[in-house]
Amino acid sequence: MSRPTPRARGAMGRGAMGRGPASSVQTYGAPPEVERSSRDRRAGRRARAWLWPLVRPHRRLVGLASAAVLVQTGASLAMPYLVKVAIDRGIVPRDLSVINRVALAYLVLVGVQFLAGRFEIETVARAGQRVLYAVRTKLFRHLQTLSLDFYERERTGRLVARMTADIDAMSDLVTDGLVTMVTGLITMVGVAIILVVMDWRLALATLVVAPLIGLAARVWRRWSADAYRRVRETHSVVTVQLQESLSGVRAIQSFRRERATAARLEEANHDERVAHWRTIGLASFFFPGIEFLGTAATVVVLGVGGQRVLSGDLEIGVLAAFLLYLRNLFDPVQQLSELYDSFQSATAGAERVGAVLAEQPSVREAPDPVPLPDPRGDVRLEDVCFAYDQGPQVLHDVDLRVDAGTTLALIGPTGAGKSTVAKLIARFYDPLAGRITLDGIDLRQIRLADLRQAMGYVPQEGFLFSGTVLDNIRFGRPSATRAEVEAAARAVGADQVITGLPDGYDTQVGERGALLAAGERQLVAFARAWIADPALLILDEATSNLDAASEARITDALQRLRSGRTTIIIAHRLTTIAQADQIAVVEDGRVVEAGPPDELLAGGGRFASLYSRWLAGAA
Amino acid sequence: MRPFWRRVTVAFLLGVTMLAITSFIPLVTRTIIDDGLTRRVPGVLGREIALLMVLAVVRWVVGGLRRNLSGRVGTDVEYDLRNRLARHLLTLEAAYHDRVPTGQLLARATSDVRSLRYFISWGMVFLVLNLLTFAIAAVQMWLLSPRLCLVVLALAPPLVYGALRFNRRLHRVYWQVQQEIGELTTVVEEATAGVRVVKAFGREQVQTRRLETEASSILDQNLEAARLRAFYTPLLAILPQLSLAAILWYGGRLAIDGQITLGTLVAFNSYLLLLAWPLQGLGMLFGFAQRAAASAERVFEVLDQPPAIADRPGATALPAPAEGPAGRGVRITFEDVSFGYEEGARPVLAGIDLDIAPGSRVAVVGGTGSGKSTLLGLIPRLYAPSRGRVLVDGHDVANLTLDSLRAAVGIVHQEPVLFSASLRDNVAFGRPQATDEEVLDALAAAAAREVVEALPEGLDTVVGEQGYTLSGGQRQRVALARALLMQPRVLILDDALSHVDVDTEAAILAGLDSALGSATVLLVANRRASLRLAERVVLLDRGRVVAQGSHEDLAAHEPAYRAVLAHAGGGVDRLVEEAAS
Repeated sequence: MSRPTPRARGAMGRGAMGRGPASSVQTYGAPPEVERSSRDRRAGRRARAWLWPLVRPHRRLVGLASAAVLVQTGASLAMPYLVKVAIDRGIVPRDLSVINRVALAYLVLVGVQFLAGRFEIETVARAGQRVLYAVRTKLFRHLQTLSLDFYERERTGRLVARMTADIDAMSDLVTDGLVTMVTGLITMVGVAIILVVMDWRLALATLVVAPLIGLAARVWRRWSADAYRRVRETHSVVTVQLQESLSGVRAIQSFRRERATAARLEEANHDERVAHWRTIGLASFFFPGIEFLGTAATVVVLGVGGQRVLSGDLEIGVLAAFLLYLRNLFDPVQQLSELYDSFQSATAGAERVGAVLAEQPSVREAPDPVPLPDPRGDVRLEDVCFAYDQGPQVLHDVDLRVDAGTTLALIGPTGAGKSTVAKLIARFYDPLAGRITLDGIDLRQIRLADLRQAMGYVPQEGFLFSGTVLDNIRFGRPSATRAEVEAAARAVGADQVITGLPDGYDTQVGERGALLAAGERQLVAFARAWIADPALLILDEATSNLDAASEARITDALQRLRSGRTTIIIAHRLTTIAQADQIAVVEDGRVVEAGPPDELLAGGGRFASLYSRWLAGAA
Repeated sequence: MRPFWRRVTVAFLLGVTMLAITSFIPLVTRTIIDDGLTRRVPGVLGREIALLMVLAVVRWVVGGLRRNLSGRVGTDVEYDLRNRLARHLLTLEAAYHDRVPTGQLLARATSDVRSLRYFISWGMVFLVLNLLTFAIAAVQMWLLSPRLCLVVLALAPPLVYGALRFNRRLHRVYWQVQQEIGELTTVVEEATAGVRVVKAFGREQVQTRRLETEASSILDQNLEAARLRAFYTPLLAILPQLSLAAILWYGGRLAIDGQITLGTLVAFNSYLLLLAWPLQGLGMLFGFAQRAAASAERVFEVLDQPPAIADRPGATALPAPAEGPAGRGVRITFEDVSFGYEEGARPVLAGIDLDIAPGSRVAVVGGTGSGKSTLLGLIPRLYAPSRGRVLVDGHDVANLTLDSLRAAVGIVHQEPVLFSASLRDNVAFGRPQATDEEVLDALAAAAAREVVEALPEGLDTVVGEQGYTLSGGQRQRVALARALLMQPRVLILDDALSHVDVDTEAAILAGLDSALGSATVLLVANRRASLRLAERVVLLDRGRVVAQGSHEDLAAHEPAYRAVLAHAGGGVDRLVEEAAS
């Protein structure tokens, strides 16, 4: 459980900067991050493997766009020729009809160029944007399958960064990059052939610079890969801090930590800026350097070719033509090297996306899942042990038995493990040892969709999504009609409160339901659970947020709900506990007492003593 | 902003130098061919080749400097804008954050500032250079032949008109793209924060559909932008070719008639071709520029939002407490206070008048949505009343410095946010210089010592979003310790112990005196046990105070209060009966 503080991570990250690839693993800080970054690296090698299937369906579009680029190139190459024809056969012999025809042909070529250009841009965009769409939805869909332990490891901001900035980093490559690459390569090969045919010895002289370019590309790749990774990493730290600061803005303001928080953000922001500086520095050195090599090739040709011209070995015309074509060879090299910039940035982004895609959900559907279309709600916990992510064991040999249609109340001091029991029953996690069954079937065997269908869970926070009250209740059953939603609200006693809101059921609740009072949020969460009509209902301390009057409504509703429904309630309040058929007292991750309330009271155990103190407090 | 423009100017000058060198290189080649090889002037070949190498090296250096400079200017602008955004967002009031989704704000501080950086780093210098090339070529053509130049310039009005139209439409589309990115960010942010609910209901499909909707809006808008670019970019690119056709047709005639020389016509052609690249680039650069402009709009929309709650000019600090333990608590007065999120909407609070004596303990009771949290949030000015005044020790809170006011008010929310940092840093959030001793004392006062002991690394354990999972009750007690460590003069417990069991709550409340001296304590509570610890209970209903008095008084004489309490006792009574039978 050693987790570095963000500050320590930032400092270590900066310390490791510039030490080159050998120490790059440390770039990301202390142990858990190292582990993640090496996982990133391994996934990076698979980056192409996951990206390719998304690009492949559009390879025809890329081909068509490349063809359009070649048409444009052809048209622009033909234009000087037309001018030559106009001069040689029109102006010099004073033939107006030739000029008319040439001008017309020129117009036609211009039209072709326009159409081909238009086609190219549209096609490239269609292919590229669709790939981005596919990446976004694929990543998000995958995120939706991952289990809670993943979400407890990751920070919201990091996931946001992956879904936005890391994918954006790939956009330049998939939009314009592919076509530039294809046409650039075709042009280069074509020009190289022409050069060899024209004069192979001179062509060979040109190739002297080729190893230099290759070397530059290698060095660039080695140096820049880490630099670009660092940019993506620092950017996601910035996003994490921004996200945390924004969601904790009320606490920050109450504790007057605006300046300190801003300073911390500035630090992270500075780290990202420095990371950018490094990539900019590298690009500023390399890309003009490639251009220099192009000019150097010209110099070599002029030197070698010039000597041969002077010795009468070569015609001047050939040398001149050679020089012109040389330009055509190095323009695409230049373009491709520029592309390398976005390529490297895209690879870093793709690596990080790939790392998430490589995550496997720890709560997985069995290979041969048992359908449970009609659950009764018979729950058993048998010798269940549990620990969070290699932490200390928090549950020890928990045995519980909740018959279908009965209510179990989990009570005990905070941190005793009540919520963990509830989360295990909801199969947010799988137990370390022992098993949990629903209707006699191990939860791990049940088809996940059926299991979720069978369960309703009201978490402590009463989390609402932005949207209307109606949307939020309907979340429990997307197919529900408005009338059904209203009926559900009436059933849990939320109707009065909801109709009292400014726009009734159409009231916007704001982010996390911020525009509603805590109790109102909780009532909506109840209606949401009700409309899902689960066979098994889990309430995690949910009633504690209600004022007495609303809780009374819920208590009544729960009484009606209980018939035909298994209910597991975590509560600290007697009103809720009193309704239970069975009480389990949890302490230090063990069930220390379980049974019907009156039996436990009569037995004089922990519940009885808790109860008497409670009573003293409540009277 | 001044050093920024200076550096942009330098980058631009370096760009001009690059352009000059690049156009000078063909002249050197020409000298080599004409003088060195054709006329065989001795020594020319070696000299000119050396010159060429020098030029190439200079271009490498200048090009690198230019790139580096504009790249850095771009990142500096991004850095600066993001810092300003963050600082500004932290000063904006809670009501603003209630209203505007975090995702939208995140997108502005990331995606929008990025598109500004892109434009400044790669687009801006080229845009100016392209326009400059354009102007130079136009002047050259005018000098060569005003008549032919007029033919070319005839294309200028439709070009300018087209470009403007293109820009306007592109701006709209890109604004929409950035907006949708904000929406997408919101969906991701929410789906991650609410993942337990999503999982519990098995509604992954619903979330995925929401995301797909946003992602396909982005797709559509980007395709719309591509359609615009696909029309205008090639159009801009072929304009010089179009005039070339006209020049061939018209200039050819002039040349045949002997009105211009053939050389002029050829030179004219090459200048026109010189325009092809800048014009082609212009389409792309306009795209960059418009996206950056749309992003800038969105960034400044936030920066221009004035904070509704800030130090007023001439704000004074809340005077320090008088000596001695008795003087610490403050008097809190509400004078005819109303609050509503928007004009005309249902007011959350209406005409509240309250006077809370220094050092007293007051409980606020009321149904859901009765305005309890908002009422208490007005004291540290997390919210500002739409009417009326809130006074602390007789000072209108609006006239106090936020620093001094919030230092005096400790507030614990029902669902407290802990940050991804060590437990120590979280508790010492309001007083970072506190010693471990003080942190542990505060935790002890909040009955959270055993939380520390249960954690694998004690105070050093990272809690919060990515850290060790604390239960709701543990979180609440840590948040209470965080408030206690500040030694506030008013402690506000906004249903802050709802996840803590009754025993512990009673112990905490009993110990508050020794922890806080005679601080004023305001609490929202629903349990009888908590209510009995308050000297006075204020009953709220739909944003109005309907009754106040001691718990016993209200319980005896106030039907509305009895109604609230009646249900709370119901379960206990039943259990007592069952136990007795």
